[in-house]
Amino acid sequence: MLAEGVSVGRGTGPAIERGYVHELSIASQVWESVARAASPHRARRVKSIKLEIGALQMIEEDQLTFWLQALAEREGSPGVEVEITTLPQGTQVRVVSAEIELSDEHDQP
Amino acid sequence: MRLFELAERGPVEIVIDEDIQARQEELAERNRQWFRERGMRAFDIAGSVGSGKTSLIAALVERLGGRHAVGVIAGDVATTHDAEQVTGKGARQVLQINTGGMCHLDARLVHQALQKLQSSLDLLFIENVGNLICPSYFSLGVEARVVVVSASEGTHVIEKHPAMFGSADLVVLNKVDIAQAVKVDLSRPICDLRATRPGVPVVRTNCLTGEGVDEVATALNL
Repeated sequence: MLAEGVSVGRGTGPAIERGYVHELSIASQVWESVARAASPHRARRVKSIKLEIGALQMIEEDQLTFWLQALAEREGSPGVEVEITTLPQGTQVRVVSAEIELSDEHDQP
Repeated sequence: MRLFELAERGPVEIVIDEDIQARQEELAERNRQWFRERGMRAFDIAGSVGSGKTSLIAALVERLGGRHAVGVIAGDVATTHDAEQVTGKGARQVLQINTGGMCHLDARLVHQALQKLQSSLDLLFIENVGNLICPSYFSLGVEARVVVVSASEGTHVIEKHPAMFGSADLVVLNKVDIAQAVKVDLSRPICDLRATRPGVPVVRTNCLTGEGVDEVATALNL
């Protein structure tokens, strides 16, 4: 019996309908990590993200930056700067830190 | 006033220090736990478009459907062709994942599909998106990864894709019947595999006739 299918990746906004590569998957997870970390700080927007990537991941850095910026723009952080340090060994994709601007709410007593 | 204060304060750096690959492994482990709790054995069937992944799964389901409660998750960018090809071969449940363009399955997508799966199944084949590159970096949390490669993919296909074949637990060399016609000497890719993944078992198949499929089942201890 052919059961109901599970569809993903559709209807998620124009920025990510241009085609998919595994850098998009990585970018989505990086953005989730940043958003999770920024949430308690009531960030208004994310300004920059620092990453460390093991060379064995074979990630195309331009692609990753493109998708990360596209996702960030969709989520209200246009122009996010992405700084990637490539480590000669390893398969890690480490989200090191992010710079955020605090929201007005953050200033309220 | 607040804007002035913000400008004066400037952006704030937050330390995150999270390894995304480690997060992937956590998600894969969640799937492993899910399978363990239900006594379900699951296999990732990976390989290029046209290598014969669906034909292998269909042939395995035909052989095993009588003594196992078999489920299939077919992963594709679009369409339900592969799920339809497997349907009617003896699987209890066939589920389609359309990634909408994403070039691989990952543990999170599989976990979403598992929520729709009958827990009474004891065997699950997950057909990955046809691709010899991206799926290799994403563990699904299954017992073993089977990589299907066909003779028509050329002499150097294994040498060109070390990550995928380096992650294989079993390699199925399919369409061996046409190797001579496409002028591929199968000893070369097998030699490359010995260098890339020493000791990994290899089974030669023609999944359309069923040649070698019983050996695949045996290699997976099914």
